[in-house]
Amino acid sequence: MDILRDLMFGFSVAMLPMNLLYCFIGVLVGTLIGVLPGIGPPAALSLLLPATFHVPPVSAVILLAGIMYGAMYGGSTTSILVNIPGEAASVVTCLDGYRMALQGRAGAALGISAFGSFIAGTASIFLLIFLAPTLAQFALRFGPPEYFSLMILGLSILVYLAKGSIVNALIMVCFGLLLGTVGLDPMTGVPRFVYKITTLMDGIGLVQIVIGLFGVSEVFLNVERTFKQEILKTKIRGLLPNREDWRRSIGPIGRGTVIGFFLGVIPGMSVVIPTFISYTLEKRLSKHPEKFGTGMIEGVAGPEAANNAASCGTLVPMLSLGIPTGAATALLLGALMIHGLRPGPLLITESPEVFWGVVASLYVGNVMLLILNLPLIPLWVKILKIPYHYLFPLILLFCIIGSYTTNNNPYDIIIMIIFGVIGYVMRKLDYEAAPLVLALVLGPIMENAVRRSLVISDGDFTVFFTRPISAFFLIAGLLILFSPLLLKKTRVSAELRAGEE
Amino acid sequence: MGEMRDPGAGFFPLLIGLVTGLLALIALVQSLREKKEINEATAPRSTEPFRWWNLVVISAALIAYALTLTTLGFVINTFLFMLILLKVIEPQTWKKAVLASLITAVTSDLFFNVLLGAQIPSGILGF
Repeated sequence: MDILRDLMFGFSVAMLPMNLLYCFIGVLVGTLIGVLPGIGPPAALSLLLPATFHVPPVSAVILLAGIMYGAMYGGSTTSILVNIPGEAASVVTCLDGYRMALQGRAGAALGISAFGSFIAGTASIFLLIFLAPTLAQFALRFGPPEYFSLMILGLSILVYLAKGSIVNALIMVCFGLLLGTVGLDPMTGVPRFVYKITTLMDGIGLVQIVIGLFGVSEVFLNVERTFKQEILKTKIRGLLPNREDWRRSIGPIGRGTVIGFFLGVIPGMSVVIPTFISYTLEKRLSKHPEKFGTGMIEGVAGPEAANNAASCGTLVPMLSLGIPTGAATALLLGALMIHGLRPGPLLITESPEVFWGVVASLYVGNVMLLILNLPLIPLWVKILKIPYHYLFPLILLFCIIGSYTTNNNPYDIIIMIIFGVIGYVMRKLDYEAAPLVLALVLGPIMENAVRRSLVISDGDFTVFFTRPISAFFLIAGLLILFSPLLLKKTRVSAELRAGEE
Repeated sequence: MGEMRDPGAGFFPLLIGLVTGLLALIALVQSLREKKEINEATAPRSTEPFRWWNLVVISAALIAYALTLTTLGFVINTFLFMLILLKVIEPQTWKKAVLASLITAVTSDLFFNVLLGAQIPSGILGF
């Protein structure tokens, strides 16, 4: 049993006191971020990225991954208690979770979402263990053209699912790709779009862009009008779901896990869509679909399992192919590269301690979250009561510190502010930031792939279509992009997003 | 630019530039066509007044923070930043605002500079 041996090795890495500490900090910060509406995992990841510069790569990834799935646990808390989703992935949980809270069953809802998340997390780790190495093995056959086409496919799916028009999302992709070219050209060393500004020599930092787009612009949106805060009125008692709750929830949890994990693996799906699909599925399967929206525990258990499984699923392409599929995994990839690791199919064999250590830490983190989450709920509720006029200067302060400490360069703060304004305008005009961030990270890798492909093929552009795997990815991507033109207004996301509003 | 056989530094940006130009053209045509719909869609969502002044104050405070960080230092800057935002956006009493700013400035300095060893300039205070 090779896998067992590898896994034991992983646990020996994850159980090192320092890694345990980083895992703990990660899941704790993740839950906090999940609880606080208005600051999501991408912003949190980029805020903490500079803090991981001095630690070994494994610990850094353990910490950052902890934030990702910790947020999935935390997001449900606010959805259930105050009907405000802490994260987009917990929007569906509001529908029935908040109703349950109103009926005095907040405890059962919180309990089942924690247990559901835990079960989903554990099961997906096993799926990850088997799927990631297989995928990496397969990806060894990929050359630059295959990588380029796969990235095009990933971006196409993300664009297809984005809010607003496809053209808008494509413009965001191009904007991100263009931003990625700023700085010295890695192949020839020629400065591009630098305009003699030294800060731009090394390129525009991912951290500054993400903090600006997700953190600062969110604050702008919140202060443009007088803000109101909902105050929690419900009481919480009995966190353990009863036997009847379990009987009704176990099916949704299982289905949610499978849906969440496999959709999470698909580039561009991220964690939000699986929750909607899980909710819709449970409603269809239920004998009482009309009761959904009135406090059905199935409507909490399924989506909550799905978002946790999906956050684990998104790690598969990142760890096995070196290709991030959303804004959060793009930042994880950034962290790997900052630490000098080469993400790609060889990561598992070249740096086994990173892959297996992170996998084992996922399990450790899930156990921690299950133990921590329920007793800490009173604390999260208190934090929710901090008035926003105290909270937003603090958020901005963290944004400043996060941008500054990446390079100790005050002009990085200016870059962050510029992207804060850009992000604000983008949101006003219905442009989504996720395609931009993914394109920004993929940009340099894609450019490298295109240029190397053309060198291999002697300048022949058909190389992307004559190699079968590459052609498959590329054609699939193009089909997805152009499908809305052929099938009028049947975009899945339109329906899903409509439910989100 | 380079050639097709050996694409140079300008190749990829040119490619993106062409695609962006094309997309912008499509978006322009689309928005000209859909003019009417947009007017209805952007109908007021909220009756609250739009407080654009807040955005100006926050942006100015952030820029000022960035430009004065190396001279004034982390503690003083953080204190002033918090104070301005607490007084202007949703005015608090002086006592509350000063106290909250002071606590934030000192604890964040202790946390980031002392505990995490970040090197945010201490400026004229010099510690």
